[in-house]
Amino acid sequence: MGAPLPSDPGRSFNLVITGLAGLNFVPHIFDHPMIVLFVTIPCIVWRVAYEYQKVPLPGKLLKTLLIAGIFGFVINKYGRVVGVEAASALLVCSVALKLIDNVSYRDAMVLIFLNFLLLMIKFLVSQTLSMTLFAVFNLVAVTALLFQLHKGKDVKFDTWTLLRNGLRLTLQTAPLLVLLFLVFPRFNMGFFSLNNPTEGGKGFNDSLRPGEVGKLVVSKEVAFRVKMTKEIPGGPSLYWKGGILDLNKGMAWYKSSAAKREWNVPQTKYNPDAVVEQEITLEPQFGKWLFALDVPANVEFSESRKQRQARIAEGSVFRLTKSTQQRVLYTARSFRTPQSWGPLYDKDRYLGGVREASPQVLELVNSLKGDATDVNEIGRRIMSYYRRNFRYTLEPGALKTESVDEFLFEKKVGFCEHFAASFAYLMRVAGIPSRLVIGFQGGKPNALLPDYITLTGADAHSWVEVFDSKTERWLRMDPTGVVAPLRLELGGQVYHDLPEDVVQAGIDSNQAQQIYNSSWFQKYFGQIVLYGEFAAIQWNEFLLKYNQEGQRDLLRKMGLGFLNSQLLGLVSVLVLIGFFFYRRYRSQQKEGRISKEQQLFVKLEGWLSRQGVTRPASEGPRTFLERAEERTGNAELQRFSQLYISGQYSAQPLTDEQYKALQLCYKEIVNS
Amino acid sequence: MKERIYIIPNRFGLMYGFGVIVTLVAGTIYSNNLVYLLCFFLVALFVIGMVQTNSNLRGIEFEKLQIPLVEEDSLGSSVLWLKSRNKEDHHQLQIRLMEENHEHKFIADKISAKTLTPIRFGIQAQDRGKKKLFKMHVSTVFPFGLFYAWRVFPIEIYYDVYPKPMGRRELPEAQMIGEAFQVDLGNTGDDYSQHIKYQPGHSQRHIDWKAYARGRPLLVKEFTDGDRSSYQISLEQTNGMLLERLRQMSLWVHICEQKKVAYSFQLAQKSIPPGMGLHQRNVCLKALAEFDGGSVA
Repeated sequence: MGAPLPSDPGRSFNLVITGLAGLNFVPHIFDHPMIVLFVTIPCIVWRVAYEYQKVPLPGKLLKTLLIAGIFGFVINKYGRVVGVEAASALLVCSVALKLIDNVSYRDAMVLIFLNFLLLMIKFLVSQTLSMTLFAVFNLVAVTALLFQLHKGKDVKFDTWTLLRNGLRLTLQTAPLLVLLFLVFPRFNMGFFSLNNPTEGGKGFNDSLRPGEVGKLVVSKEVAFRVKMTKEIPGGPSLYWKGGILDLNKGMAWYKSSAAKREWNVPQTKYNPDAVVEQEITLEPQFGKWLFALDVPANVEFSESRKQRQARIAEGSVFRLTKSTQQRVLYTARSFRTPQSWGPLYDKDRYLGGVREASPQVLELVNSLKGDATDVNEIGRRIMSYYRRNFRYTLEPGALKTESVDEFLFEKKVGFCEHFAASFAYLMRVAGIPSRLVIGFQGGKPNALLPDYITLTGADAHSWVEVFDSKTERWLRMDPTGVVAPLRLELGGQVYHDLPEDVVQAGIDSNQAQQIYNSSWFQKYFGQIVLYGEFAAIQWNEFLLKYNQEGQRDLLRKMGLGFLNSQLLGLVSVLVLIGFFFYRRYRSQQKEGRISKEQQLFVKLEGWLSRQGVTRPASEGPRTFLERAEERTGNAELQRFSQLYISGQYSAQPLTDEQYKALQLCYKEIVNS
Repeated sequence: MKERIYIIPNRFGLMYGFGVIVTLVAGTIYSNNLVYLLCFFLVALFVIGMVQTNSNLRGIEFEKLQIPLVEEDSLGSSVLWLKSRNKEDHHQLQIRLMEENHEHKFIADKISAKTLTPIRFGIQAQDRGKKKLFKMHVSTVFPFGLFYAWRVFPIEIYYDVYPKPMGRRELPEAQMIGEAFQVDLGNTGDDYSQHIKYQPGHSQRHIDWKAYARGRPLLVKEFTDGDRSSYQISLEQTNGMLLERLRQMSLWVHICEQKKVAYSFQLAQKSIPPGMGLHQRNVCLKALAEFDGGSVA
């Protein structure tokens, strides 16, 4: 085609685009720390140094080596090059390498396109509001740069004009963007999905070793958000069950192969009064477990593909068979009262692991148990031992042997998982089947949205379930509740924000809450955090709920309920075509306002060109008509010329009679 | 009169389109509304790019093209006047002026809305002759470089390329011209350029007596606009190939203009009476440019 390319970008452009690429790497730091550290940062430094003529760009050999090295690294790390994680790693690398590849116009374009893809791939793993806002800024900047690149090198390059242009162009996309978003048919692509077999970095695995929950607790990342359809149950009962661990090895707990068995989730209809319904938005990094208020009854997805991937396992816990690293939205239902939902499948399994209990432990359990036979009574007695002898701290230091003895008789400090792990062990020694539960406890309600509770890593928790053979029910017991009752009353987010000496000073939950509210952070940033959380909730809802069903709902509300996906696709295409024609019509209307005599002249020009007399753009009407007269020998042309020019170039427009004369003249020329 | 604008996505447009499809597929597979939003933003940007690329060419009218006499194998500074009827400025227009076997390319950075804008450019002349520009091709990829749009204006503009001044520097023999003509040329004043020492044979009228009165030696004023003679430049005084001969004549015209001496010009049937100055020069060079060889060759 040989289309000419605009000139190569100048240094200021190159520096800005390098900066923007650098900014775009920031969200990927946590996903690919090694790559960001050892590939992107050196590339940015290299490019900037090149721009200031300190170093040359790498040669072909070095570039080939770098590409090969990066491919090797990615395949080595992720085992393949497809899937979100590997693809995003490769993409980050390719943007970085492109920075030091070349500096022509073509490279700038490719870099800009790669920036778009970089955003896209990040969206696949993170759909938070902050990520969205970051992306909006990014898109404005990238659009502005794209515009600037084509405006020529010499045009003034200042940030403000750049941003204004970007903003203007971005806003121009809004109507079409909204229209497309609303009408573009959503499909359930159940038959084809790329799932990532690797687990997200955070969250729980099928095991719990001392210190693991502690790592979660220090993170303030949101784990899930809950919208309660009815009332929110009170603080200490907010136990969000995730999974159970039944295999004991000292202080460490694992899942036995029996407990890993799963079934499809039965869609039982429950009496609405008997269950509490929750709408849960689970963040992708918290893996495959589907949390629900204790005692979970079932989970339900609006997307049938997701529903097919949901499983129930022993202990009435739910999970997804595949992790797409996407945020998921589901409705969970939980029984209000303990149910006979947990038959004891295998007594030996729930009593295992304690055969080698030390004499010291046996002695302790026997002395605590005494003559009690009731599960509740035994539990109460052991818990009172905990209240007397243990202290809650998030920094207990590592256990040397991971043995229960070391914790019970030497360390004596720890947090939920230490207490729960050792408590379940002691219950087993006492002959009562028990298992460890991991999940969350607490959650922070939002003052602006009273139906919502947000749970973060700080709320991560573990507790114990023991089997009561009399009632044939599993009962929840939480030793943390006696060691640090404030942890349960305040919830992890508030509790862990308070200094340790404050929470151990023996104050009640109201006092503790007051201290928390009067901290400088809450005073100055509390409201901002609140509104931020409010916006995040709204944004999540919008993004997650506008799926196939959401679209159908909207159409139904608009009275277009009869449209299915295919029809909607057709309609949207028609709407788009209509939009084009409308624009065309408008622009023609705007520019097509030529006078009547001009229209006549255009017609005559067309007729003459068919006779072989064409008018070059450089020729005025008078000379053209004179030339045409010479060629055709038609004297009427001269009269037309006089009439036309007098109408066209004089102050007064043609009168109707004059116009008629012109029309007549035209007809005579054409008919002659 | 009707504006016909052609527009197609260029290779960056195709690359971008591919990116949009990838994004759409990703959005669909992962049912990810944020990816959908990004995808539709890209689509909307694509559409806006198309509309704006198109309107960047809309409303442009060819007004005038001024090309001076250009020397063979060199640049002649020219001006193209384009008029805009648009409400928006036009940016980064690539303009190609077509002539037989050759085209002239340049960029118009900006044409302001609703005004007549002169675009200065250098026209690169090839060989001697009268040249015809028959087409103006205006194209653009502004604002995003995703679409290539172009328009064609039929034009009919001529310009002349005169032969490169080359050859012997000595002028052909001069002829004295009458006093009356000399007055016309206006070289009776005192505008001499330098003194030279008097030597026998110098005209006594040119001796600077005032300087002599101040005690300096006898000095003669040398007048730049020289002698009261005119040079005869004609094809007959040259020899060699036709182009060489024309180049020689071109050189003489230039030398005469430099020395500010009058010259008459004879090329086949074309005869130009003695004279000097810009007009004389242009008439002569134009004759040299347009000379078709005729009876001489």
